[in-house]
Amino acid sequence: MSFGVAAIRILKGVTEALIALGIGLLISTVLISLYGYDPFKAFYWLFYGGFGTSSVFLDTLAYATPLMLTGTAFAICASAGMFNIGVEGQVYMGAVGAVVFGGLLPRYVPALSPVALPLALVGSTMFGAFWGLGPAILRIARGVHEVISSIMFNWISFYLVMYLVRGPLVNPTRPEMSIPVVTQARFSVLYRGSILTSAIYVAVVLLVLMYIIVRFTRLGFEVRLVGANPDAAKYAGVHISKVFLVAYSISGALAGLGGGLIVTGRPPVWSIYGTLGNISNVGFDGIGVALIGANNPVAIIFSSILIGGLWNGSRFMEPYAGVCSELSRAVIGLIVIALSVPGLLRLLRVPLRRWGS
Amino acid sequence: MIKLLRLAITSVILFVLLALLHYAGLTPVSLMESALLAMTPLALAAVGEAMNQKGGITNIGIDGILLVTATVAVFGAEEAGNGYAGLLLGLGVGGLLGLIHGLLSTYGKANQIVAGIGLNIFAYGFVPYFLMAAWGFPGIRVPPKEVLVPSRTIVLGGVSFRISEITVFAVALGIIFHVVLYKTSLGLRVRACGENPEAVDVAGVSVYRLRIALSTVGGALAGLGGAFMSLAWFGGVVKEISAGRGFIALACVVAGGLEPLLASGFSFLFGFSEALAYSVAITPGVKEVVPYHLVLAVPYIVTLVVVTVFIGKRRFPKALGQPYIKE
Repeated sequence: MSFGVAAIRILKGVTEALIALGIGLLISTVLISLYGYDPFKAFYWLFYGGFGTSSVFLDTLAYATPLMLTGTAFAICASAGMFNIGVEGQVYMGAVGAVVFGGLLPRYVPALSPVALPLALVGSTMFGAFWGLGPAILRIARGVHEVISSIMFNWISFYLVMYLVRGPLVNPTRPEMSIPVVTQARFSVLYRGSILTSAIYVAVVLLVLMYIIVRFTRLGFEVRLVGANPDAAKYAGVHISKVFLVAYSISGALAGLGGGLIVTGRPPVWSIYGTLGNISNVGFDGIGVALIGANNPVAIIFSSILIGGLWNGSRFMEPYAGVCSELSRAVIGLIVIALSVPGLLRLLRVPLRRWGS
Repeated sequence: MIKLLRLAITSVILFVLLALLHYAGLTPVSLMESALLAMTPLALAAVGEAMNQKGGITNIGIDGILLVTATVAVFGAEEAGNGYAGLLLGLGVGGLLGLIHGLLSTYGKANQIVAGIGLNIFAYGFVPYFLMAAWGFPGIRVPPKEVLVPSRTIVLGGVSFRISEITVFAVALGIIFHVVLYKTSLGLRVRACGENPEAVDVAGVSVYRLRIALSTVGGALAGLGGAFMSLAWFGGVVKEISAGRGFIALACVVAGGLEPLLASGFSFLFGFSEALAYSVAITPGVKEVVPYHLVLAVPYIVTLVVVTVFIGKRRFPKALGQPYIKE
């Protein structure tokens, strides 16, 4: 692929994402005005709070970190033609894995404390991958659509994790949260006063690695082939079931690690809230991240910063513009709906041509 | 072998249910009443979605429709001072969302799963925003009792039994849709739309219009189900009121092989398991032993097991989920 073609593709992707963002904001403007709020004030604080100053931008990067992993998790499955809506539940399980291996285990076996951080990360990856296997196996063995089964897995893990963090894993001194991971299992804060930790390096390195795997390895080729044309893949001798299984477990592992990075990499909590408030929605918003990033892990680095900025900015929109912070999630939903239409650019070109002639 | 396995699993489940029922000392009448309440939104959403999928469109977004309509229905009921107005508003808003999904899936040639996911994410954000914007209180709204939709009390053989007319409507709808699907020319067109849209097109019927109509009806029924949840069942709305029920309804549809009657039957099974889980979770003697949150996970586990067991060799329409592109 020549440089020029690549440049055009990137330009197209960026334009498409911007159009989707525009559609999302436009419809939200209507929703905001309908209830008597000031949309310009709301969007000013949404974007100023997300990207306006260097200090808020650092927090935006912190929110983007787990989204990079959940976005790539969704993207890997999407490349193989599967919808891993179970990312949300895999994040919950990964967060529990981090608490068990980075909090519970080192407390019982203090000798493990120096390696608590790698332990926590491996634990969260394993828990996530394990939780991702369920929907894949049901799809392969029984043909159960993964969207339905993975949503059921999400709810099962939601209640399971809620039971764990309020029961066996509860913090005795602060019963509203689970026990925290030990100090050795915490990423260091990069800038004083910000919540950005070195966890972001782990995420970025992994995304680049995933890009290389998807782009340049046999496994990556098989994944893309199964996604593009399952029949051709079958004739080419690809074991479709194996690809599904591998794609889903890599996806679950990434999502689980995303949950682990929230617990080990975002001050001041270092644990899971009893409401799951600090780990919820990371998986669902990863879907938006993947779609905006066109399933490309490198592009996902940027799209997760965009969505992370919306998250961070919504915390400013609520007190300063009075608009409920959850509206940012409605914007993300509208972006996803807009991106479900293929060739968004082409749709736009028709009215443009009409005006031109 | 598979048949034996199915029989074994079904009887084990039934046995466990009966044992639990006996152990918890529940009365069958109250349990049946709550099972029918829990069944109604599932059945409404499922029969609508079954027809929609027969015609070739999948709407993953019905969970979002349930959530949005449960919320706006409370708003409508309070504004009009009448619960039935709320039900109507739920029906209308659900129809509108179904219409949008239909337009995206036909003229927009959208990826239906992605569009549905987007609709759900939108709903998860819109509903808390709406609750805050309309009533200024986060996450929950309990309307005055007068605007709720009451259940009727009927006396059958000396036992008084509470049931909503919407429940009766939902059950009747499953039967009506079955008849429409297999005994009328409209039903033939619907089925052809999912199997062989080119043939429908050649016969001079617009595939797009038929699919959009089915999607709108499906959305409207899910909307009625959402409104039923807040106005006739829970008596209010919280921002997580749908709790994945839209997906359980989808599970009813696929477990029943897209047959409206079977989908309706499965929705009763799920309604029953949900009612049982809730009753067991708060029963003295049980709630001390079994963790509450784990009991709440039971309906989702039942859904997984049932779908896995029954999906078997169900056959699905050839053009399901594919955008129809006219040549």
